[in-house]
Amino acid sequence: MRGPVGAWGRVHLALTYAFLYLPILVLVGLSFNRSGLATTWGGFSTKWYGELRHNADIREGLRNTLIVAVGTTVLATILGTLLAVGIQRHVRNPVIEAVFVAPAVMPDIVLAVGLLLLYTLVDFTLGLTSVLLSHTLFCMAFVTAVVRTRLQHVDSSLEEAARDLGDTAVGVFVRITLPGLAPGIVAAALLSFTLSLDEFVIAFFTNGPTTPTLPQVIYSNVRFGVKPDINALASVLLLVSTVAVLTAQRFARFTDTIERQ
Amino acid sequence: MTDAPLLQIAGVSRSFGDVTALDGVSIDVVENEFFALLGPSGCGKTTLLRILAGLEDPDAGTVTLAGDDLIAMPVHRRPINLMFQSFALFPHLNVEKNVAYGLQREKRPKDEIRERVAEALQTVGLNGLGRRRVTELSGGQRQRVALARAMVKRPRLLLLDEPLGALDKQIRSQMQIELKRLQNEVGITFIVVTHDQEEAMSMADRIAVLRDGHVEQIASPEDLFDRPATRFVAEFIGRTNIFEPRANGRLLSVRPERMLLDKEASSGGRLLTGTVRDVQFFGGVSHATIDVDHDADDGAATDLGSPATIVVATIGSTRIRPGHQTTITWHPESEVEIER
Repeated sequence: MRGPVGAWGRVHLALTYAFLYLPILVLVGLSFNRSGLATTWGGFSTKWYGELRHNADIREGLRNTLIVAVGTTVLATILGTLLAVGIQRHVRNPVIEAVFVAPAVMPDIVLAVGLLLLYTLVDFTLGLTSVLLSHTLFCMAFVTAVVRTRLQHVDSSLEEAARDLGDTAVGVFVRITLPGLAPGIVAAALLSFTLSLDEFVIAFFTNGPTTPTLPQVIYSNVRFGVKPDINALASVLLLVSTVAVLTAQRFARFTDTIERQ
Repeated sequence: MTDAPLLQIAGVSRSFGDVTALDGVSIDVVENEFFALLGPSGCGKTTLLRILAGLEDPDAGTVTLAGDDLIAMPVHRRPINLMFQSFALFPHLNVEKNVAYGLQREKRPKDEIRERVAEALQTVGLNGLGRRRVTELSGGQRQRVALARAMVKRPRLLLLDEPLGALDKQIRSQMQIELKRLQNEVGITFIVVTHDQEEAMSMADRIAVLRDGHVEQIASPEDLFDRPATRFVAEFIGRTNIFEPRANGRLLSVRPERMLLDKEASSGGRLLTGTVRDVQFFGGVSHATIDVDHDADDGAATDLGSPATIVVATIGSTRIRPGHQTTITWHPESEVEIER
């Protein structure tokens, strides 16, 4: 129930939101600080954003991260969607139905160490491929969860109707099931992309030494103090993530609208 | 029926776990017939329809269409189409593309598809709405799209699952007439599933009354009303009065429409006395509920095995009021012997 809150309630809310967003505001603010010092405001400037382009480490990190994030998005979305459909249609065992989500809820560090051990065991060379596979595993769980939610709202009589009208099983999946799931799939893909984009722990454990991802580059930079161009970079990442998440939510809402009709 | 039946359902059974949905159902449907499967919810009528469509397999029994084994045929190859209760229109396709879906799967030439879709939309009265999104349509319009989509493939058999269930009462009676007209016009055999006895009675050539997974009776609407075979049918179709005469252990059903109030008994006629308890006025007809006088001197009520109350139908409104002492008379020919 939404009711009016008193003055105290409003103060409480403001403090909570400040607690949540102050670090981000400080970061974004400082990224426009000409002086480059955290303690003195030297006037508004976008020069740190300009400097990003000339930093070879960052450009290399960005390239690696985009390779991993795009690859992960494609793989995790396809595999996760198929898993969701498979579970929905064929799995009656509640345990199997529940455990797909494990990689999403278990601590990252556990997953990361486990993956590292596994790669070592099978003698898999660490590099962007191993990060991509690790992120796919991690993101697949999220994709499956999102697509399953969508699946539960899709009227199964639509598929039966398509069969009845003479379509093959594959035809029904492509022409009826997938379009029905599309909003969920798009939302899941955007979510995968943002998850992979700023993932650090798993990448740290499963990456090789010569191909650092962007979060790894940032980490190795801030160990010797936060430089202002990192503020700018973080702000850019923040923008990308925010846009992706908002777009995903738009699709989720679009989904609801269709259902109500 | 002289024609060889188009559809032969023989001994079809289906269980879901412990629940028996169908238990040895046998029904023949002839070409061009408007056939109704009627029964309360849970009687197995929808399961039977889904078996015909191929969305469900029977545990036992055979189904043939024009002599061909239907069960062996996969759903997308059967010359049968189903109109779903929910209409199941594809929300991401417009009206035209919904209707064209089945023809496109048959890989018909584009011109033919366009022509037949337009024709189907015309038949159901949706000219000019082809480009509309199905989500923008009213309930009645959606129903017409679903009908056009199921008919456009010219199936041998058109199955309709509660076709009018999702519509308002007013549109419903209009659509009843229209469905009947369409069936005549396109010459397709229709099988309609419904729980609404009025709907079945007003549209169907023949009706199978189902109960708990078995067929109670298959007959024309007139025969179901005038000659119900079982107590269930007599009570499910319209209203009735059930008598249990002492003489033989049989049951007799007498329709309220066959009884008269406040009349002298004619020779050989039945006569009971009683007190009017309640009168329901329905416009064209009134139903009077009479408390039968079981202690009358002649003992007629006991001999006839009369129920405690009897319903008598009168045309229009009636001057009879609750508390009124009255007689109930009917002719023995109106009594129909039924099974328990």
